[in-house]
Amino acid sequence: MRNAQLAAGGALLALAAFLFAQGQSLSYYTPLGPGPGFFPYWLSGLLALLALGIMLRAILGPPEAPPNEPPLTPRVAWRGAVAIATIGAVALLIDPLGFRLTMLCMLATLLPTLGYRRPLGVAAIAVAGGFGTAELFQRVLATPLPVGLLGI
Amino acid sequence: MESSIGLLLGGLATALEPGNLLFALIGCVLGTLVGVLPGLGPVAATAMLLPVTVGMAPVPSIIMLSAIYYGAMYGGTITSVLVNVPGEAASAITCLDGYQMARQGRAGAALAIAAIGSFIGGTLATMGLVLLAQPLARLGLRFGPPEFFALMILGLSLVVGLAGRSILRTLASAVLGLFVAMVGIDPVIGAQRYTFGSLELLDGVNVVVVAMGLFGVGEVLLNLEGKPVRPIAVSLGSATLKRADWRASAMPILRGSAIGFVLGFIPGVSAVVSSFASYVLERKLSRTPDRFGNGAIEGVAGPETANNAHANAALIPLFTLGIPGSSTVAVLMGAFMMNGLTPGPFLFRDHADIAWAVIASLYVGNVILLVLNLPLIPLWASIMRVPHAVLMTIILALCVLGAYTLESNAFNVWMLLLFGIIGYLMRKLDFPIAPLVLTAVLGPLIEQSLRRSLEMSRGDFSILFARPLSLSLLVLAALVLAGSTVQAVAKLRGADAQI
Amino acid sequence: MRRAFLAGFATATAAIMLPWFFAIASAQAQTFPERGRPITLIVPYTPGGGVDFVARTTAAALERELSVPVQVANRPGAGAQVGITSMIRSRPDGYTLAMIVKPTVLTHYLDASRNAIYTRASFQPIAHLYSVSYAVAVPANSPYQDFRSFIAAARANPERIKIADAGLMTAPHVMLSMLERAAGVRFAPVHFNGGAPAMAALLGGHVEGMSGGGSDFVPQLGSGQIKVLAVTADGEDPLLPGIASMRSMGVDVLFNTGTGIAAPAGTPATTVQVLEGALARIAATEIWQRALIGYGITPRFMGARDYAAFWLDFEQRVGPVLQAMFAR
Repeated sequence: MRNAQLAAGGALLALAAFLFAQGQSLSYYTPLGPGPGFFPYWLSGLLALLALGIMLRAILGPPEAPPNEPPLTPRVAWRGAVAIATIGAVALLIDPLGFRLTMLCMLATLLPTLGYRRPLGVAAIAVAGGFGTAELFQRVLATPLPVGLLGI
Repeated sequence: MESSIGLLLGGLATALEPGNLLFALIGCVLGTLVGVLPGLGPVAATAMLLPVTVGMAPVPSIIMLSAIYYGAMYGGTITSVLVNVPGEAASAITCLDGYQMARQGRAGAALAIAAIGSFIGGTLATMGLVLLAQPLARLGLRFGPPEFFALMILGLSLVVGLAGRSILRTLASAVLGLFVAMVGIDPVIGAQRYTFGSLELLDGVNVVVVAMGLFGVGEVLLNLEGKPVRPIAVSLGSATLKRADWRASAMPILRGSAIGFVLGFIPGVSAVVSSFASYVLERKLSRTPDRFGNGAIEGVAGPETANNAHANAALIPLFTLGIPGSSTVAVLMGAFMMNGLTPGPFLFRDHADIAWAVIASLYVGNVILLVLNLPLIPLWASIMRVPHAVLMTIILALCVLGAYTLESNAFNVWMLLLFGIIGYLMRKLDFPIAPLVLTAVLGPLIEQSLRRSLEMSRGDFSILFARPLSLSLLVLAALVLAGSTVQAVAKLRGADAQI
Repeated sequence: MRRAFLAGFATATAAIMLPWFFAIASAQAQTFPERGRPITLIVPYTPGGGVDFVARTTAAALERELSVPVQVANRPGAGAQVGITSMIRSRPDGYTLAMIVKPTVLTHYLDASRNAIYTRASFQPIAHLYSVSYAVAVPANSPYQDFRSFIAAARANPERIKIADAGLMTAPHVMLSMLERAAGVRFAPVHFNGGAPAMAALLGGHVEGMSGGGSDFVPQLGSGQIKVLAVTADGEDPLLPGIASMRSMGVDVLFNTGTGIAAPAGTPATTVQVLEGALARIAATEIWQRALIGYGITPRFMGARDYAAFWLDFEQRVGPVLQAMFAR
């Protein structure tokens, strides 16, 4: 927990510096009061102070008990990586491929990866999630979900 | 006042005609459906069905639209409790304890108290609307930009009340939320701020996507083991509320009604403030604040009640002044106008029968929602029985669906992923998430109302302190801040001395 | 587990490649619209406003008129720039249209910092559907009971008369700037987030006046809470009968924002004609007109040619005002 907090503080400090630098091009004050750069200036300073506080606390303070959360095992890491990659793939594919096929592939990939491997169950959920949801949106809510190059 | 109640009863008779009841029922079912599929939300649902009502008579069409509205709000509660996916920012706070209750096998109790609390909050707010609409509307108008700014600062002071184990990490989370809020075209001179050349970021980051990522995706990423660390045991018997639950929830429901009602009749105050304020207040008043965040039923009862009372009170400025207090109410106003009814003080004079039928039907919508949902709760809760892997996949799919349909935009799916990863890291590093959501909502409101105040005073800050209402709210905020800080520091000194 | 992932990935890859064959097969275009091929009408705003309402009402009628599905797609973002950009990027075949609001679209391409990928020439106007004219109003008990004394007071107290508008660079703000230029006065604009909060501030006495669209004032004018001083229409605004125009009182402000349907430039002329004709028939129906008027919107139909001329004229009149506002 100590090293993790140190790293978190460091990351926040870097983020504060980045946000401060990005905010420099914005005008700090206008004739009628704070400009768009006013809050970035002060809040990035505050964030840097808080980050330093978190780092100091990690170095000087007594050790903290880690939060009561599941441990990160290799299996969890692999599943997490697949989940993240799948959401990224959805973001890339949903417009060219259409909602139905994208959601079908997402469910067909995630279900077995996360530990549900009954073929019929996976197929049923994937089809219902991809095509059933789209039908629901189309017919009941009158909201078209994207149709891909395939025409579905 | 006597006559108000008489007229309301007359309206009730109209609203309870079988045809109108049928539309209320259809509306509740449609609305719940929209709410359970995150992303669309109450505003979009009512707006999309508005043209459908073009040919309908005023009473049934307005009954249906308001039923959709209530249904969608409750649908958002269902997903918050069952799968930790808030359908709108106001129900994000319900995730904190509702989802924990669900994990402890008490999803039914959480959903039941939310439905009952919403019903009571809606009832009390409707009574307030009937009896006190005129004086309250005038009070609401006193909230100009300086008062609004002071009220939002008061909202910001709630952040400390959301503190977890470390005040430093709580404040860092709050500041991150303020930075999220700053993305986009700034409200002062229209400059691009933190947009990094992206067209999609010009309008800022959508808070619903932030909440879905932090809560929904972040939670899934944390719980990817085949067997959940904390067992999910669901028995349908737990759907009923125990005597202890009632005792714990009674006062939070009453207080939540008051908070939601008071904040609701001020035009432009987000329902997020009501639900967060109720949560913080209950945590403050509780003798066992440590239960909050670990499945405290008060943490569901209070905010859910406040949320619904707020929604009902938001109708006060519409009926009395013709001003829609929120975007959903603006859609309802469209329905009024299309039917030749101009909301405002003359609505009751020119169309008293319809006006009272509408108010009564809003109430009937609340009743139907309760009647419809209580028997369905075991069914909803049974989703907790599906295999862990399936549940996790469904959560991710709902989040993706919601993020996409929110603005028909794949960009929001990327934002969902980004905030999912941030949410995961925050959990791992013990940074509380709720402060980030709260400040992301409040940030733009604070900056805009400050700017407006200064536009009024031509740059003179004394406008914030010279007006009595604004000054008293700012003093109150300072007191809340000081009180919470002292309390939090003292508590931490006592426990394991963390600052 | 890994195998399952790869299988899913392979399915996805195959699915991306397939459309090529389909695209080649259907390259031979038929007459517009092809049977069963849906038309998408992009609304560059979230559901729930006037533009969205008109789009949905019109799309339902267009569906009957052309016998093909017409879908409304809300693509909000960047003050409508996201949705318009996606329309401009689509193929100019008449199957992707968008609701275009002036002056909003001008604020995109006249402001270099927004890097819009389009200018006026990128659009094929199809039909103009409705206009909104604007007005200034004061509380009923205001010391300024007519437009002339209001302007005189603004002249005597530069930057002191507080006027609520619907936000930075919104149409009411643009109108206020035009009024300032035409009358040679300076107000103190206070930018709210939409017409409703601006009205709340006006009724609460936090500002002295309000600039807004005609329908913003209807409820409060009817109940006598406010007084509308002047409208920006050429004559009377049907929503605000009996209120004189600014022009008639010697201040040369003519400002009607317009909303219509456009396609990307390069859409075949025959396709434009089909859509224009269908929209003309819809706009002539009583049910369509009644729905709009009920919502507080005044229909004003123009065909493709008139719409294009109106767009050019609008840009010439309002463009310089916008440029000056950007520079400030």
